[in-house]
Amino acid sequence: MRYALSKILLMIPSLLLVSALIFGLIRMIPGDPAEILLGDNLNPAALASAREELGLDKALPLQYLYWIKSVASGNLGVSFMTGEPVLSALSERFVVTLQVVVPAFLIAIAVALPAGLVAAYYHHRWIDRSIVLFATLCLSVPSFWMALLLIYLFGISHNWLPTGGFVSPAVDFLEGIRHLVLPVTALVFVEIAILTRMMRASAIEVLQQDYITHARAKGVSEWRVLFLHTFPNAFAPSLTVIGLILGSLLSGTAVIETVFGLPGLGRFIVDAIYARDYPVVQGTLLFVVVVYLGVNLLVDMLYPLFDPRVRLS
Amino acid sequence: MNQLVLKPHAASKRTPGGWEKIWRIPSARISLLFLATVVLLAISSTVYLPHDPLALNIDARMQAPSGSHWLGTDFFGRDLLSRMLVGAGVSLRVSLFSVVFATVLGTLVGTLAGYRGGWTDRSLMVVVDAILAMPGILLALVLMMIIGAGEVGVVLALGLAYAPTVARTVRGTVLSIREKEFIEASSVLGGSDPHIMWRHVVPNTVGPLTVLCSSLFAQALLSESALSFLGLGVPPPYPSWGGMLADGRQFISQAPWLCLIPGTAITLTLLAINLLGDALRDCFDPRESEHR
Amino acid sequence: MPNSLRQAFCRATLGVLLNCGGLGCLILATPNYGQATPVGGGEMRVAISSDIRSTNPGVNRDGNTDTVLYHIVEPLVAFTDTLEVAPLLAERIDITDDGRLYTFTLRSGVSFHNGELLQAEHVVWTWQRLLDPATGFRCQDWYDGTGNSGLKIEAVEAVTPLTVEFRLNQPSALFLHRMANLQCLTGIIHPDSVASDGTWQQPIGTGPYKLDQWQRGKSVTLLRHQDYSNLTEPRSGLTGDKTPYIERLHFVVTPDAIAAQAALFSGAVDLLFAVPPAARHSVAARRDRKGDVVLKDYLTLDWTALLIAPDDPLLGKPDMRRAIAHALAHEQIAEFANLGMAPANASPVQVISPFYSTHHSQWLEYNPDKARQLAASAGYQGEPIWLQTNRKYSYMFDNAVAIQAMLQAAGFNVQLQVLDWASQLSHFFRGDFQLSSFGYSSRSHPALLFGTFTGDRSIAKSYQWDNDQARNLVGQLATATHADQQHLLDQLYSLMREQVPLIGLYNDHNTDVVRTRVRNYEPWAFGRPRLWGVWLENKGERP
Repeated sequence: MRYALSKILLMIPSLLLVSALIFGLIRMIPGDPAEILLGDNLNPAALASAREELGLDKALPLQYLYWIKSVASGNLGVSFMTGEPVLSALSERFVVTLQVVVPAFLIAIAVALPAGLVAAYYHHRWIDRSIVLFATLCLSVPSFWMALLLIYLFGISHNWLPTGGFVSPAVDFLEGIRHLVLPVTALVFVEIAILTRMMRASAIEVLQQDYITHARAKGVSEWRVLFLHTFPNAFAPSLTVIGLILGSLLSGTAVIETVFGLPGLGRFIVDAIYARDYPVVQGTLLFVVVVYLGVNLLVDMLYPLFDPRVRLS
Repeated sequence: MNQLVLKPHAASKRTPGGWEKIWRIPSARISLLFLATVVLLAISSTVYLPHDPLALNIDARMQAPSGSHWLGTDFFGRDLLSRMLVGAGVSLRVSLFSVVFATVLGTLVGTLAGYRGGWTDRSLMVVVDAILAMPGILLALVLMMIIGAGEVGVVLALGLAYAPTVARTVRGTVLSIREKEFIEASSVLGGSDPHIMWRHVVPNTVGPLTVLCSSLFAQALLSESALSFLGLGVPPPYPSWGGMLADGRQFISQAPWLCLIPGTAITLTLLAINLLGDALRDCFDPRESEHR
Repeated sequence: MPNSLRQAFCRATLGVLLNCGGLGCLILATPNYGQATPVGGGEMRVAISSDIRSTNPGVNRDGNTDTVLYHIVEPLVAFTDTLEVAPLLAERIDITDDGRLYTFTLRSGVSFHNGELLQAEHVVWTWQRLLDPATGFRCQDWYDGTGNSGLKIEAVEAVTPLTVEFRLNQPSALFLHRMANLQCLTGIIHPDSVASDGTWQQPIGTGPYKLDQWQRGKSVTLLRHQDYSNLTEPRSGLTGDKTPYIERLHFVVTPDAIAAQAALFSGAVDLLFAVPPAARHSVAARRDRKGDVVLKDYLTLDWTALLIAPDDPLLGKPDMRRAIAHALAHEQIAEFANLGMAPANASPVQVISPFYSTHHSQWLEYNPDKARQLAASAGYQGEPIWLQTNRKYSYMFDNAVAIQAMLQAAGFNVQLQVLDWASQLSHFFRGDFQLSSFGYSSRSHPALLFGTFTGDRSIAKSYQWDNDQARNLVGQLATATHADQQHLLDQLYSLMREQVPLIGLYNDHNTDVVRTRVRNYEPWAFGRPRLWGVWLENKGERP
């Protein structure tokens, strides 16, 4: 517990720096939110009043301090464009992202861990080679290209699955699942590829260890060797990478979400960047960073459960 | 996160015969040949092209592949084969330069942090971790918008986004090398800091860096396409493969080749780079072979 | 002037709405697919490219917001198909001879979505709210005397329960045009639309549809207004017979064009509007193969143009500007970007405008040799010239690619600079560009379009044409009669040909695509859908 606490405290300087980076970077892009907001109806008076309304007339350091102060009190501000509170908007979008990312992630784990294990077991044999080749191929197909091919095959050539939009499975389960099939498929291959290659590598290493040789010498069945002795030990090193992948996936998959018209977190940020919706960009990116660091902290905490050799100090 | 750091001993194990070993791996051989062909085609495109890749032709718009246009034509009636050839150069150049930029910057920061240690290390690593925690593609997108779209913009944006990864790897390597006796010996003998870094530390990071660079190169190629997809990338008229894919996508139902051909080219190139990367890893770094 | 306006309104009130002029008739052509008697009910799904900004008309808005909201609220007057202004909630409009007092007589029996009847006090309340700076109405300066024309509404008063007077500080030919404007929707709303502390709740209007649900980022649902009081004149523009037949309208946010197309083909949406020419081909192929969609082609009022920096040391020279104009094959650019479906148009007078004539189809001829000569005499020596564009609006991008190719062919070293739209817009407002591939969205009257790019650059850098004679002519347009306006527009265009303040390219061609079960749908020049008067063949097809 103390370990976690100290880790969290260590995150604070990083987070402050991230917040300053985000705040500065988004403002360095040319383009004025007030101009975009006014669009066709621009005139100097309206511009001035819009800038005042958005708080853009104040000095930059002051704007930053106001923002940090309100973030510290749990308020991420409201969107320039829609006036919606950023926190509630981003949680809605995050739920959508979760519904795509979590199934893709779970499927990837369910496929990749056994595949990696099997490949390691048959190291250097044809079965290993084909698994590696397939995984490397999956790694090489850009996910948005995969998305386009899927839309072409299932949406345009054959009219089998919906190619866009989002229906919450909570509202209409079957429709919701049907809408998720293509985006999840477009995402899942890359994840399978990364996890399979990693699981294979650590399993190969474990299989060369003395205790496996001992176990085999003692006459333990190959099945038990693989799943009871090799798997847990090979899984631990994979955990960190799993954490990194999940962390970055949760920040949304802007391109996939755009292609399939999903109102997820990634598209939310990209749209906000294009619209110079500062509060949304700042709040959402900060949220994403916190999630990323949180997931990785969680993985750090879980690590000793899987690998008893590691003691947290 | 420390598990991610490539271990240095692998580098020191590097044998002069590394490249020969790679050539003996069939998948690596095929990949090398494929990549060499792409590079040769890209170079030859500066000398000869079947058609002018920029010439608009109103009478030959979106034609399917045929005898006169082997890969068909695009929305403006431009020859797709010629554009693919020119695009190969653009895509490879952009990816290469962004990796080089990331490597130089990352190595500088990583070596400095790892060698100096203390506050230098801590403050540099806070910055590196902060950047690493942000989604890479969004960071690159924002940087592109600040720097301005263009080949230089893509290179700088991707380079800046990848530099922290390099810095982390190099720092880890340097940290463990620093403990080694030969450096201590060298400093006892009165070697200066830059001299020690240059003579002993930097060479030992080459192995892990080669492996990392191959994976960064693949990521850069992918990210350039993704940036084009999000509306910013290498600007026309000179095409990048990613840009062509992004442009072709709106015609997917009427002219699918506009999207299939660049997509296939990207996929095959990525496959070759990834296979080659695996081989490099096996030769330079046999133990830590899968950590990315 | 006031007389002519009054005449226009007399005609309108008499039901003679369709004063067909030019290509405007094209849009009005009766659909040639199975006309049947209207049936009520069902749900129609419409793809919109981005979520609406708010439900607060004219305050926080963009194109899609306007589209959804003009189904919910109605102003006193509205545009017809031929872009004239006709009464909507008003029954008649009387204008005094000095042109400063407008008396609107409201139709009786018009009900709000909450059941209350429309009264003069509601009009007064709505307009006082719009003119209150606290509201944030986007076009407040059109009416408060601070804008370019100096027009100010001095008073809005209810004279009787069904008559309202608007008193202006000066006569204005454009007052009603502005009132009918789509972007600055002046829809009359019930005071309950706003909470007691002044914050916006939801629009309670008089329109054929009422707001049911807005799921941010996903969809907006509208329900039929059962007691809608419709006009008896035929449907035209945003006025005339606006009977809602369909029970529910579902605007689905579908940002990706390819996904939207796939959704149309699968039947998940019934309407895709403003499809650009590049994407038309694939929907046309679908129609020919499956026959389950119908294409509706039309020319819009949008006008695309190549902007040439007026203050640039090189490009500011008249010879250089003419050189660029001579280097561009106008018809070919239009052909490229619109696949031959829209004619080139260098004039701000839109092709479908009643003011368009052969005079406006003349432009500097395509002559690369002359272009080279002029450029040389302007001292051009092959230095790079940057052309800004973006990928958000594909027509601007396509124009830029074609323009670059042509200018390079004529010896101009033009380089493309692809920006994101907000950056390009920002450069535009600051006058920070050399060349810019740009577009002006629909303006209902050519005078308004001239007004957006003609003016004093010391006030706003977004004015491309800062010339005394031009500004004077544009000023005269605001108060001129219809016949004089024609003359002034012709003069302005002649002046443009001399000075090349910017190079107009064409008015966009768009296509709306509907599933065959959608009946009686017609597009119009503003490029947005109108879903009243439309019905579904097999209503209740989807639950």
